[in-house]
Amino acid sequence: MDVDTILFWVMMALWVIMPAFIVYEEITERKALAEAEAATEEANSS
Amino acid sequence: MLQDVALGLLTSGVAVSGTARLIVDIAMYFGLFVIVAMALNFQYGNAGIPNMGCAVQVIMGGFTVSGITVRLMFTMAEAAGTELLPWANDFDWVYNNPSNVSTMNEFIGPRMSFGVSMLLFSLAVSLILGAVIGWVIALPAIRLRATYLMIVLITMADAAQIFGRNIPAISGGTLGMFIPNIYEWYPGDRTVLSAVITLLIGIISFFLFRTMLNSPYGRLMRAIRENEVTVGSVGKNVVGIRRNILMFASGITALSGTLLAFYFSYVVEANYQRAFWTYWPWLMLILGGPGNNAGTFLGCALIVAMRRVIIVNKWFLQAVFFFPIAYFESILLGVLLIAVIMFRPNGLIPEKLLYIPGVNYTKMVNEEVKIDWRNAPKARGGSSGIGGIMSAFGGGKKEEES
Repeated sequence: MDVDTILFWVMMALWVIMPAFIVYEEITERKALAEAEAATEEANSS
Repeated sequence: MLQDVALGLLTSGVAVSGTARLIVDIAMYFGLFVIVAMALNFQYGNAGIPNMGCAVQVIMGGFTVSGITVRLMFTMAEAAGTELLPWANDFDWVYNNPSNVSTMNEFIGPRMSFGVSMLLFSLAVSLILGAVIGWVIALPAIRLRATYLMIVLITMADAAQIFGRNIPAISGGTLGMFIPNIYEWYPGDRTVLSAVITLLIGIISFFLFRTMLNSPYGRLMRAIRENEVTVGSVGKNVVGIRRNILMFASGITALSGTLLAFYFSYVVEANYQRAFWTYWPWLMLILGGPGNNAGTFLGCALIVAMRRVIIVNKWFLQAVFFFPIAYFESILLGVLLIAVIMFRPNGLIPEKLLYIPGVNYTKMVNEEVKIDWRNAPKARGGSSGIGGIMSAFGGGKKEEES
């Protein structure tokens, strides 16, 4: 396997990892926000 | 003869072809635009600074390479004993450039550390000069209201191009100039290596912006965006904060100009047009949704992929359209902008509420405050009420004496 092919796949990995991490973080944050909101509503109702 | 040399310089070290070439190209442009769009999101999405002068910062990165790094390379190569054609005056600088760059490529070939150090030097200098140009932009513009600020920044983007076009010492004037291939030591295709480095810098920039936005400074930025009068009324220096934001984001934006210069191995002011480096990043931001990084990435990926596919397949697309396909990109920009503003004004991924890991706002809000304010220490000492006012005017002393 030549250097270009290895670097090409490194590039593809970087290209996939970066947005995947951002999407994962976005989903985690939205989930945490929803939980915090639910906890606030619960506290207010009680 | 000169044409052959020029073509040889532009295509040296480029081996990947076909679909892989298109993928590398898209990855490279994605990396470049993601840096610019993230910096724009940092400025506009989070701090409310409508920076319509992204092209100024990008062009600064390009000019850093053509005006400073190339001169440093020539000087170092001559000091090492390499014979170059004269390059001191404007005429020699432009017309001897292809020959000198060809010699420089031979010089860099066996010296990997030289190429890498020149890349790091260029990135560091462009970061500093980008921040300096951000400060220069901020001087007349930062006190202006959004509309006037935008007009001033658009004008500055054009002014930067005019400087590049008319001063050959910067970037070879209208002819442009070749840049020595700093990846000459790399045995494969330099564009693949260039794309990897660009994506890596994109990731580092993302983490930098993310850290900034999750810090108290990030919350201050959002507060300024929402109501700068309120922030100013509690003692914050709004103008200073906006200037700092503009400087930091400008420095990061300039990196993409430097990376583009090394990717092309060529710098000409026409490569840094306002439409290309300002309006397209704005469309990416508005399409994805300002104020969140996921939206910026989505907008960037969609627009870059769409543009590169259109550019590469223009020949085939021409058969489908009744108007010249060259205008299709510009039409697409306008149509997409109108469509997004009409149907999704908040972008594809709207901004969410601020969430900071480790901070439980619910607990903070519901926490019982057990402070007896009557016995709490006074911030400025002394008494309060009428007595305090009297003491401030010198009346307090009499009170104590009596």
